[in-house]
This record gives sequence, structure tokens and C-alpha cells, in this order.
Amino acid sequence: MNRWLHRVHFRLRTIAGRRALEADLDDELRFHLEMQTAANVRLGMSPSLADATARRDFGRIEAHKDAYRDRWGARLLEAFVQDVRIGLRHLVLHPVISVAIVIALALGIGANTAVFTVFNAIVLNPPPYAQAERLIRLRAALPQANVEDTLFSAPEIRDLRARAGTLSDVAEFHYMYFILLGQGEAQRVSAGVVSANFFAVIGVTPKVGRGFLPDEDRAGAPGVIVLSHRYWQERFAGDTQVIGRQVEMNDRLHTIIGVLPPLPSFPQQADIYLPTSACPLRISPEADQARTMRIVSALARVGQAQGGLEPVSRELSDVAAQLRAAHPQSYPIGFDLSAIAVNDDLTGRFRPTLLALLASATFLLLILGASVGALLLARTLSRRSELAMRTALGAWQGRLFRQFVAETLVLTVLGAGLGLLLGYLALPSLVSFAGQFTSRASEINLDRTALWFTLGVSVLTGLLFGSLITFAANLEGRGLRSPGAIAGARVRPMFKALIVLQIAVSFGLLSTSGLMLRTLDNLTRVATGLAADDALTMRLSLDFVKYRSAAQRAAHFQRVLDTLAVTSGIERAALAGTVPFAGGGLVGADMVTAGIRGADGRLTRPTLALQVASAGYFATVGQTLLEGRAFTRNDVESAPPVAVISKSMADRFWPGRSPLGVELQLPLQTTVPTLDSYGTVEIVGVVSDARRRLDTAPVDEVYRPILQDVPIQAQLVVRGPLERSDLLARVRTAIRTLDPQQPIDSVQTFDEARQASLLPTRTTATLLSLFALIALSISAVGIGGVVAFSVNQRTAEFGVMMALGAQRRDVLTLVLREGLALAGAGLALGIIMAALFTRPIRGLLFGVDVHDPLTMIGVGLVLLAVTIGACVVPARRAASVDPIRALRCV
Amino acid sequence: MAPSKPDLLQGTLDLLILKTLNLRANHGWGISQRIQQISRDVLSVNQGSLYPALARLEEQGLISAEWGTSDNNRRARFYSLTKAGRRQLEAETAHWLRMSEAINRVVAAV
Repeated sequence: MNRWLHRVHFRLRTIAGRRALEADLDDELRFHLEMQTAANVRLGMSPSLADATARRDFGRIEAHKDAYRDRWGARLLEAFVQDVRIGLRHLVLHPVISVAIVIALALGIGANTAVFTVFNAIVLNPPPYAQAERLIRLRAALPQANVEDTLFSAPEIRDLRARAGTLSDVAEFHYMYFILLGQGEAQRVSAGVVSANFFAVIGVTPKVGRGFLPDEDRAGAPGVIVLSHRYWQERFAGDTQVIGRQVEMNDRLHTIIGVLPPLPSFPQQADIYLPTSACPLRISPEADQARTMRIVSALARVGQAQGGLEPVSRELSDVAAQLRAAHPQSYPIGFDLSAIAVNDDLTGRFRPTLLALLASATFLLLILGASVGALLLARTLSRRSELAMRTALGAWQGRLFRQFVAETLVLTVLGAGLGLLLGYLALPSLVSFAGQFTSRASEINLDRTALWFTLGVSVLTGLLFGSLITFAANLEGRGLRSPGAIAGARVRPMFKALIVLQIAVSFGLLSTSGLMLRTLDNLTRVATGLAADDALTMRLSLDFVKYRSAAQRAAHFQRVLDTLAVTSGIERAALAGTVPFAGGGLVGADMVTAGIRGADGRLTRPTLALQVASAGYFATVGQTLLEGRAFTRNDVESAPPVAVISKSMADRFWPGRSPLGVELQLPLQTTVPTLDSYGTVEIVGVVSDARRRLDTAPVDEVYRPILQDVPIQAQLVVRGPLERSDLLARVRTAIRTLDPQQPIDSVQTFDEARQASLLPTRTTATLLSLFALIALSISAVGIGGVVAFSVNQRTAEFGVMMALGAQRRDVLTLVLREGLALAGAGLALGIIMAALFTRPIRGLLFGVDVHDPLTMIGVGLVLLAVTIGACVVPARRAASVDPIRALRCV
Repeated sequence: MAPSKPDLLQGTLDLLILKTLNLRANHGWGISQRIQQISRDVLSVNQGSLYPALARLEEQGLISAEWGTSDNNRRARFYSLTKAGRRQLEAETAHWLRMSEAINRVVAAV
């Protein structure tokens, strides 16, 4: 051990102190010569003869030095530098191949760097919360209503704090909007309304100022707000003096007490945070007491001593059972509680897409690597004579290997550098792409881990292909020794294997992209049941202090409709709680449990999707009234409660009969917090089906008049022959005359909303197709190259064939057959690999099976066509071989 | 046999160097002179083997080198035995004696 350490130290010293050592060596040898010369003089020689004799006896000084230097570690380094220099020289000597290799590697490494950066930032790195692994979100499941993840009620939060011993603390959050006044135009601000312990539970300390004090969420506490980092930057330009400033929201003044660091939207996006005491809906006795008023998210911190989520889940199930037993009227059979880790919650939706991209990028690198390997092999073959010479002169295997590795390293490092640049340039688009799936996208950046990853990938690639070529060179070297061996014959199987691999991987990548494109196409073609692409929608969020009662809100909504009805340029206008493709409502469930009494008097309890809509809504969005009547302005709270149902619901519950006049048991107030308020509602109409989401079939829908179940926020839908901006301006003016403090935002047409909901699928399909196209073109070049190579090798053979009477067509067929054989083998392997490739995207598909035969056949045909195309050029060259000249070459 | 010859010579040269340095520290030229003197001009050390051998022994930690001043006041590199070198010398001397005795016996018998 000691010896070994001594040697390492010796070598290191020789590397580090190279120049001093060189001088020492010089000195030592010169001393030897001087001494010898002096001794010779003592023997009686003249000084010049003495010197000459000494030098002759000593031999060649440089040779001695070399022998000496070999003992030094510096030798290795020197050899490496020399290898790299040789590598660079080869690079310059073969510019086309080198540039092709570097570009191919840059594409592969760039794609991998980019995808890995995203993966690293949002899956490997924990989210920016203290001890993020202990932060969870609780989920309540109502399996009878097909609801797996619903919100909690205030009494349940209290129960969880008291009963769940595995949780050190539980915080609540609900999303609410406030109207910001006194700063120009009235503005809608999205707020996270939270319990005072919220920041402690999620593990965040404000960047400036402080968080909430324990008493600040009690009723009657003075108004305080904490700003999100983004809102602070946008609205207050990052001014730290903002602490202590007062802002007017709704009817109250609130003091800014803190600013948060940048955070992902968890559990939902919020501009500002307020304690629960600030939200009149939340502190109403109904919301505070009703167990079924599920309006808050529950976040919790797992106790220090707990190992993993397992004990937490077990205890949550126990708590759910206790609640069912204690309050049987509030909890349906099957009610259960569970937990999800914060990062799964934040990024779970992105995982399948990210995995598909990760797999594709890896395979893209593999295919690029294979083609780079083939190119390098081809280049190596062109250096056969050099290699043979060096082997013959005694260059040992290790030396050749070292040189090949150095050469490929030069290429891969250049490729990696360029790839890193590509990855860096692609980063902003990746962030916005990831932003469609997860709010952690803003954390993505090229950090040290990503750089190490890139370096690792490039060095590995260099080593892999260095050894591959050494192996090939070795084979070739042996081949050269036997006279008459066909050049390259031994390497050709390796070539072919690489090409088959490329085709197989291309097949896999093409089928994933094909499936995603079919999904996109299917989604685009989905019949939504709506005819309102050009209808403009916008959000009207009422000031719930000013419009406190349902009657006040109903009156305001009716006034809006009445005013728009007489505004010129607006043909139709209607209100609804939510509009298709644009996300859910604000408070309350949009899935409700109804009671339907059958003809036999038995009560069934189906789960229905409930929407509120105004008079004229169906006509405005293009849903056809099939039976009965639509809503009118007279369907107000004092009138008998009515409902309109969808055709599919009518067909399911009353097949072959008219549902008109049937009575449903429904909660009458669903859009604001209320105690259970089931009442009897009469079905007065049936409308055609409409989709709320592109990928979900219409469910049993029941519509209620917006004037009977009045929300605090509604979507306004208007149509007219005007330009969009004109239309919007008229709506704004009309509504301002009614209430100058009414915010209008989220303006988009139905078509825009629909396109926006397609965006994640579209970008995923585009990225995967891009990968597949690169793979396809590389495979095409690979097939063409290998066939051209073998045509070159067989020129003489073709000459003989043609001299013996073979036709052009025979030669063409022969060459094509070789290409097709490769493609066939690649396809066979590809079909097996496709199963592996398409697995991660299974959950992303719509209307097409993972093993869709049509897509597979299509992809196979594309690959075959490309193969034939790639073979045509070399095949024609083979067929036009002049037999005489070819024979002369033998 | 070609390959065994340099091995034997190399091992022998190492032994001679170690033995020479056992008396006192010396520089390269001194070592070669000393070997030549003691062997009465039978053994002449080729400089091409001497300096690599010195470097090798230094790398193995059997000898150490430092700069000093020679008799004629010239800066020279002096080599001396390390503790490990002394042990190695003992082992190699014993080995050599056993070997040469064996060879002598074989040669005398024939």
C-alpha cells in the first residue's frame, strides 16, 4: 500500500513539475559528461578529444532522456495530447464526415440535455419547500359519485387536526378572488385563503416581512395580506418598501405584511394570500359548520417520526371510518381519505409525457450513436492502410484503442458543446412547454447536474464508439493479413447490425409519434355538440360584498343581459356558471348527487353534472332544444324550481318516454356555501349533448337557471357580426355603465379555448414527431450509406454478372433486396420494441389503441418507402457498371 | 532465449547499484565509476541503462535522490539507499549468493 502511494505521488510529481524535472535531467546528464571528460583529460587526452570520447561513450543524450522520461507520468499526458492532436487532424482531413458526426451528436446530446434538464428540475429536485418529502395533500374520495379527489369542509379540517396523530399539522387553502380597488381600473386578484399555519405547514418562510400570526385567521382580525413573488414583481416592481402599505380590496383595507419567495402554484395559483378571516364566504356559519360544504384543500405535514406515507394512509382510512360512523347522514358509503406527496401532486400530470420524451431522447441518442458508429467505421475503413502499417510496425492494441478513444472524444466533446448550446437555446420553449403541465416549470434551468449529465453522456459515447472501432480495426487488421480478403468484409455484419438497430428504433419512435398525431387528429375532430366557435367568452367576477345576497346578484346578472340585449352589434348574449374547455367553476361541486323516483316508486341516486345557465344560453352556444322549453328571464328564485336535462340523460333514464314534468331531487344552491338544501325540481326541457372537455364523453347533465342558483362569478358568452375587439369594447362599455368596478377578464373565443385545451397534446405530438423525423432521416442516410458501401465492394462481382449476361434489372433487384432485407429485419425488431416505446404514452392517447394496427402498418410502409428511396441511388449506380472496367478492377 | 537476458541484466544492475549505494550516497557518474573500479574493469555500466535504472529504483522507493555538491564543487544529484532499499539489498544479495553458488556448482560439475 505504502509503495503504491509512493508511486502515485512520484507520477503526480512528475506531471506537476514537468519543466523543473526536465531541467534537472539535463543538468544530471551534463554533469556525467563533464566528469567523464575530466577523467579522460586526466588520462592524458586533449580537452576536445576527451569531450568527444565522453560523448561517444555516453551514446545519444536524447535517447537516454527518452528512456528516463518514460518513467514519468507526464508521458501519458503527452501521449494523450498527441492523440487528441491526431484526432483533430483527422477531423480536418474528413470535413464532411466530421461535420455530419458533430451535428448528429449535437442533436442527440442537445435533445437529451434539454429533456434531462426538465426531468432533473422537476422530478429529481424536490420542490422549494423545507423538508418537502414530509409535505402532503389530503384527498377525499366519494366512490359512489365517481369522485376520487374532492375538497374538504371546515369541520373536517378540525377533525383531522384532532384525530390524525401521524400528521404534525394540517392547513387549509381555498381559492377565491377579490376585487382590488383604488389603483386605477378595478382588478380581479386571485387569492389563496389560508389558515394561519399555512406557511409553516408547507415549509416556506417569507422572503420579505412575515407570515400570518396564529390569531390572524380568527374572525374580526385586522386585514393582512402576503404577496406572491410573481405578483410582487409585476404589481410592485419588487419594491421591499411595500411592507406596511395598505390596499383596498372589496370593502376593506388590508395591510401588506410579507412577500413570498418564488413558489410553484400549490395547491392552486394565487396572486396574494389572506387568512381565512378575510373571506366572508369561508367564515359564514354555513361554510364553517356544514360537513358537505367541501370548499377547501387540506395540506399537511407528516410527523417527524413517520416513515413514508404508509402509516399516514392507514390512519387516514381509520379517520374516514370514524367520521362515517359519527355522521352517517353526511358521508356516503365508501367515503375515504388518502394522501399524495407534494411533488407527485405538482408533476404527476406531466410524468407520462416527460417519460415518453425521456425515452424518445434516449433512443434518439442511441440511433444517432449507431449512425455515428457507422460513419466512423466507414472512415476507419478508409484508413485501412494506415492501421495495417501501424499494426505491422508493432503498435499495440492499447495504443490503438487510446487513439480511437481520443479521436471519438474530440468528436463527442465538440458535439456535446454544440448540443449544450442547442439545449440552452431550446430551454425557454421547454419551460413554456412544461408550463402547460406543471407549475414547477419555472424552476427549470441548466444547472450543474445537467452539465455533468451532458459530460457523462459524451464521454460514455466516446468510449463506446472508440472501443467499437478498435474492435473493427482489429478485425480488419486480421483480414489484411490473409491475401485476397475483400476489404471491409469482416466489418459489414457490424454495419448491418447498426442499420437494423436504427430501423428498429425509428419504427418505435415513429409509432409513438404516429399514435400521438392520431390522438391529436381525433381530438380535433371530436364533435363537441356546440356551434359557437366565434362566440366570445369572458369572466364576470362579482364583488361578493357589494352583491352579498342571491337576489342582488341575480338582479345584477339580469341587468347585464338586459343592457347587452339593447346594445347594437351584439346579436346574442347569455351567462353560464362555466363554459366548455375553460375549466371548472369557483365554489361548490359541479357533480351532484340527485334523487330520481322511478315509475315503480323506487328512489335512485345518480351522480349528475350540474351547470347553471341563463335564458338564451343554449341558442347562443348552439345546443338544440329537443323537447319542452329553455330557460327564460322569469325562472327566478320565487318561481317554481326547474331544470333542463341533456339528451343522453333523457335517453338513459327515460328511454322512449318524455321526461318532461318529471321531478328530480337536487341541491337548490350549489354555487355558494349553503347547508344541504335539497329540493324538488321539475324537468321542463331536453337539449342536445355538449362536451365540457374534448377527451371526455358527455355525462348526464342537468342545467338549472342562473337566476335560481346564483353564482358569484359567471361566464358571459356574446356573439355578433363585429370584429372581436369592437365586440369586446361594446361589452365593456355597456357593463361599465352598470358598475364601473366590475372586472372583465379571461377573454377568449370558444375556438381559442378549445385550441388551448389541445395545446399540451399538440406540443407533445410535435416534439415526438420531431424526434421521429430526425431518426427517420438518419436511418435513411444509414441504409443508403451501407448499401452504397456494399455496392462499391461488389463492383467486380456485378461486372462479372453483367459480362455473363445479367440484365440491369437483375442487378437492381439484387441491390434493392439487400436494402429490403435490412429493413425487414429492422421492422421485425421494431415491432417488438414498439411495445416498449408506446408504454409511457398509453395514458395520453385518445380514440386510438396503443397497438393500433393501422398506425403500425402506416409506419411500416413509410419505413419501407424510405428504404427503397435510399437504395435507389446506389442500386442505379450498380446497374450502370461497365462490365469491362469492372472486370479490370479485379 | 532473448527475453530472459535483459531481465537477468536488469536485476543484476539493480543489485550492483544498491550495493554501491550501501557504502555511501553517490551520483550517477560515481556509481558507474565505482562499479567499474571494484569489478576491476570487468563490468562497465552503460549510461543508457544506468539512468533509467536509477529512475526506476527511485520510483519504487528503494533509493532517494537529492541535489548536493560534488568533490569538484559542481551541483550533482546524489542518490542514497532508503530503508526499503536496504531491505531489498539484503534480500537480493541472499538471492544472488544462492543463485551464483548453484550456478557454480552446476558449472563445476560439468
